[in-house]
Amino acid sequence: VLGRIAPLLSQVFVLGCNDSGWLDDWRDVGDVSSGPQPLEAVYRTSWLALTRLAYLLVGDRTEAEDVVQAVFTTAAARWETIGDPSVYLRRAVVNRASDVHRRSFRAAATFVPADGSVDEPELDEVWRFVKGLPSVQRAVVVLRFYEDLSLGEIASVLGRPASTVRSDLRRALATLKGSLV
Amino acid sequence: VNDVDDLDGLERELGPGLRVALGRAAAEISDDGRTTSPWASLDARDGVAIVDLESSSQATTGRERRRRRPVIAWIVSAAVAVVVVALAVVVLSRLDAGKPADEPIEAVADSFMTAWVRGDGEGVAALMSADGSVGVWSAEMLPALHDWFRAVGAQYHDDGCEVTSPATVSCRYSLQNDLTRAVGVAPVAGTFVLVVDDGVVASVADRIDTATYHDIWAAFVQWVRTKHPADLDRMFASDASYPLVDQVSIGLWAGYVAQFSGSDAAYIARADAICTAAHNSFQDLVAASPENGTVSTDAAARIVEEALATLRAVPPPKDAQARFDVGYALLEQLVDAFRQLAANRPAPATGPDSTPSPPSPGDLANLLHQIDYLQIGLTGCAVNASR
Repeated sequence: VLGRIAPLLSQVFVLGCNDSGWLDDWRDVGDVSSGPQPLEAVYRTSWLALTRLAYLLVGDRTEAEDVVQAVFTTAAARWETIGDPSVYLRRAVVNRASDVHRRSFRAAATFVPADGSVDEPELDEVWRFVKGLPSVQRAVVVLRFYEDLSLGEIASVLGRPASTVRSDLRRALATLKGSLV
Repeated sequence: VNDVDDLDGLERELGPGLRVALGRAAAEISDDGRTTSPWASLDARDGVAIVDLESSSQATTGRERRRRRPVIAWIVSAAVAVVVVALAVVVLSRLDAGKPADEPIEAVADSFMTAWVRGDGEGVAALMSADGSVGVWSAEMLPALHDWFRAVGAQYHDDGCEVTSPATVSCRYSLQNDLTRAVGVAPVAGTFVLVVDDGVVASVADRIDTATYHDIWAAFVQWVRTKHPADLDRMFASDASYPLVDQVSIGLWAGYVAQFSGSDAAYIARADAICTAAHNSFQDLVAASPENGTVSTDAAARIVEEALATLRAVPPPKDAQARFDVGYALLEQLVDAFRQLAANRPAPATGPDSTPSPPSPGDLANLLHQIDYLQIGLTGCAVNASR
């Protein structure tokens, strides 16, 4: 599996350093130590990161945007009580996306890339198999390998014990490995 | 230790590729098209942010989104135009044939539901336009689809239709099949949205509530993948999202669903469904808590206790009896631990010489880990109220 993916590893650097790369997505959202920021400011700085996270969890841009919009709409009503927006918003997106993922299960079959539309079929294969994981396992994989969270941080976001998250991750990776070979 | 090694090895092997694949997929979402602030309706009164839910939602899902993505709007418009032309051709062809076009749409919908619930695939197909479809199924495939329904013991119940526009009717239904029965969940609710034109059904959108059905389906797919891997591609299409409905597939489905129904896997899927519901209840409490994540241990105890009662209502298969005995005992300990924490009192003595002590965070974490480690579908019941 590694052999099939290895030629593509150079893209890690490209994506990570790109202006739109995920490493920059949370650059303006994290520091809340000086007190709650205005809702609109957080919205503007975190929309992209949250929508990308939601997209990886639901697999559809429109659904992802709806998830983020709904999360902010709900958050607005209780903004003053939210201690750490970055943690709250991420957790809310994951929870809401999980519901959407389950509801849209049947729609998953419509995800069929057109012939010739991709340059690296292996990458699309990986993404396709990630989309086929059960919702919790998919969330764990995305939070681990896209958001680069530790198992403890993932446990906090998902509200699951760290040991359970570890099991979720192991099962997800075992499934992916079985699918890719 | 093996568990840790196993996970570390998997992360080393798959992590780099996953990072690239996920990063590239996420990069499909850009900030370029977001030219209009969706917070036009955001108001600040007395220092409190207020959102107009209605207009906010419309700003994202309606006109504003279309303005942001003219290409998508163009594609949708083109698709609508194609559908309109196709419908016009159908209508004209039927008018040419002298077919009456004045049958009330509710009568057409009733006929459709009657035939569907009866399992009459031919009858359903006869009510459809030539290019009509029900979800992904074309009209000509509906008889075979109903053959598959029979093979898996599907029973639809008509829960009533309602005309929602001059051309559409929404018909609610509930569905049971041998998979839902095996897992012991309630009938799954859904809605058919029929578009009726010129006395025939032009299309049907099938909106099934898959929150529960997803996990049942996934459990069966995994069971087939494990027990009968060579038959997976003979039974499923589209990454196992849909069944194949040819005769070979239907024969395999009939046999394997029956096997699955009596298996440990089905009972574990049932436990998973029950514990997932318990976990969702717990998460709802977490989301609603004013302290953003704090749930009383008493409430957690009640949730686990109710789930445990539901689990025990059906005894496990003999082969799985020992594992579930252990699992249920661990859940009982979890309930006791939550109750002790809620009452802030020490745990009951386990023997004449033992010293009572309240459960520590470490004890609780160990208990949760033991429940999860069993891998029998009880993980969702191992809620963590100690955060």
